[in-house]
Amino acid sequence: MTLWRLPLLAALTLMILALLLGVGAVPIPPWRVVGAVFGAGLGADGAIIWGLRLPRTLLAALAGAALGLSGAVMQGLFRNPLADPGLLGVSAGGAFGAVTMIVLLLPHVPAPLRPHAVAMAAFAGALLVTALVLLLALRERQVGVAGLLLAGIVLNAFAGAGTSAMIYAADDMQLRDVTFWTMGSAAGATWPVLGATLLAGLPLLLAAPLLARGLDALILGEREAASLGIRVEWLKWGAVGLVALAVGGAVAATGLIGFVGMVAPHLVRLAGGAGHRWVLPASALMGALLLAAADGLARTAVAPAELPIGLVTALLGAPVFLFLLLRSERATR
Amino acid sequence: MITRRLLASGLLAAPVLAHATTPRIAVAGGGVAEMLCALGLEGRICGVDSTALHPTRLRALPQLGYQRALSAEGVLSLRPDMLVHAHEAGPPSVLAQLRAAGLPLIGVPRVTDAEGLIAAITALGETLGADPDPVVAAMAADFAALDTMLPSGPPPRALFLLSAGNGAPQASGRGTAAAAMFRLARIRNVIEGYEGYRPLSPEAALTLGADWLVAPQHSVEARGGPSAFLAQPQLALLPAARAGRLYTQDSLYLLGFGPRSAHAARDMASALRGVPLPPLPERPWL
Repeated sequence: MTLWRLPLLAALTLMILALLLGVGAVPIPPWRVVGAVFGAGLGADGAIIWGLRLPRTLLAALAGAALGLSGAVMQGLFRNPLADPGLLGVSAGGAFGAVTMIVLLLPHVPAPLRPHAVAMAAFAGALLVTALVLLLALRERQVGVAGLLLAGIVLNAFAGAGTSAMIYAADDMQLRDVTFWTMGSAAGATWPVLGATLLAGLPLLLAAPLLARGLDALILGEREAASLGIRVEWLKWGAVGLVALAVGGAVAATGLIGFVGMVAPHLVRLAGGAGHRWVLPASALMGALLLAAADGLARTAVAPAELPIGLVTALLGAPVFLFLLLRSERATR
Repeated sequence: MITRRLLASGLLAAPVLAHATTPRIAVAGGGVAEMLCALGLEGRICGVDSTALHPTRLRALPQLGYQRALSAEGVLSLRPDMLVHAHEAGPPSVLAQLRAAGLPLIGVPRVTDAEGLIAAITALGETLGADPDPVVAAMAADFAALDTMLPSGPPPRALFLLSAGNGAPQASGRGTAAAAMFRLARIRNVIEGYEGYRPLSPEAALTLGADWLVAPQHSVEARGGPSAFLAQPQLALLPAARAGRLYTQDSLYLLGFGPRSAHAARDMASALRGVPLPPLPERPWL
């Protein structure tokens, strides 16, 4: 068992989050960061740390945790290391919702609701498309994994086409908004946004220990898992539902961020084996660490401009991941 | 210079308007449509793109869609005798198709200052057989008046936000229409670090020292009005946002670079300097 590594990873994640508070377009040295966090320097430093950097670092970490954990759950459920929450249409549905709002609906939304309209539409789109995937995959009151995959592919394509239709109808300025939304950003973070994202992600985070045993058993096959006393249907519905909620919340708050959901569980397995009692919490931590670090880079690399966070995760994550995979394969050969 | 570029497009060997019947003009580009109307050619316009919003009468004409996404058949279906288009209209493949179909294309180059604007309108008028002199004289007078009314001394510092959607606010750097308008109104664009419209780090925005935020009307409306726009976390900490110093304006008026530009620059300068500048004369194209 590698569970003893969990506190280590948690400590590392916390340390990196703390370090990231010192990183941004406005340089603030560590001692002043400490002062600002603990209220000593509520001047300009405090405004930047409390108003901008802390909420966005925490939002990136939270979204990363939701994506990493969801990726691990999906890979366990599908028994496929390539699975990620996108398979269920969460991301495509979220994008469709957000883009439809940006291009078509925003002028018709009552003014006081407009600041939150895009996020709410993304959340609704993510849940709606996932619900449709579940319904389409339903056969005789059971959800087959193969059916889930097929329905996911179909609805992903459909939501993608819908998004394209909206992009076609968009004008220049909407197109910019759409483009940057689909590349993700944590810059819109506020404490209320953070709270809402936590609310959406908390059920999955809390249920992770319950899911771990079921997913471990599922490795043997559905029938075998059932004979071990796992309620397989409940497990599937629960996992898909909670993942849709958590990822929908993350997508609504940050836009589309690829790669983290798939990669975090892989890194975790490379570091400590495939038991879900390790993989699930460690993937959440790893996701948080990766995305918070990516956001640190996004907000400093081209200052005063800013990179979209999804761009950073894919651009840096892909080669590193490939390197690790090739190395581990060579090692096992 | 611009005249020569227009002539070099190879279409204008003969005066284009030497037609037996009145020629039909298809237009792509809001600023270009305004120029044609100021030249008195409104009655010849047979179709416009979706950015041609002023004068509002144009919106009743057949629509060509968005200027960057023209369709060759769509344009040809109006049986125009020519297409007058802004530099950004396209896509280029469609323009090539139209050219191959024998439709004369008249492109108006990118305009970023008073001289360019006057040159473009002069060239358009000469090409289309409409006397540009009255319009050009009026515009030159407007720009000259603008130039003398702008006080010297330190210019106000402003940050132009194209939009502030979900993520980092998209702000205009060098080489943008917004930067050109700032120059016209003698306002300092606080972003010199990059070119074009890009997401601006909210932290960096704090260090830029902008006295004012400027944003297009519909971006502000899309966030639920000025106070909601300024309350966004990416902007809320800015001193300009706290003081409520947000100037919004219709984006075609502000960024369209047409005959109304001197007035648009005067209005913005007046608001940002906080002193009412003398009004420019009323013009028929306003």
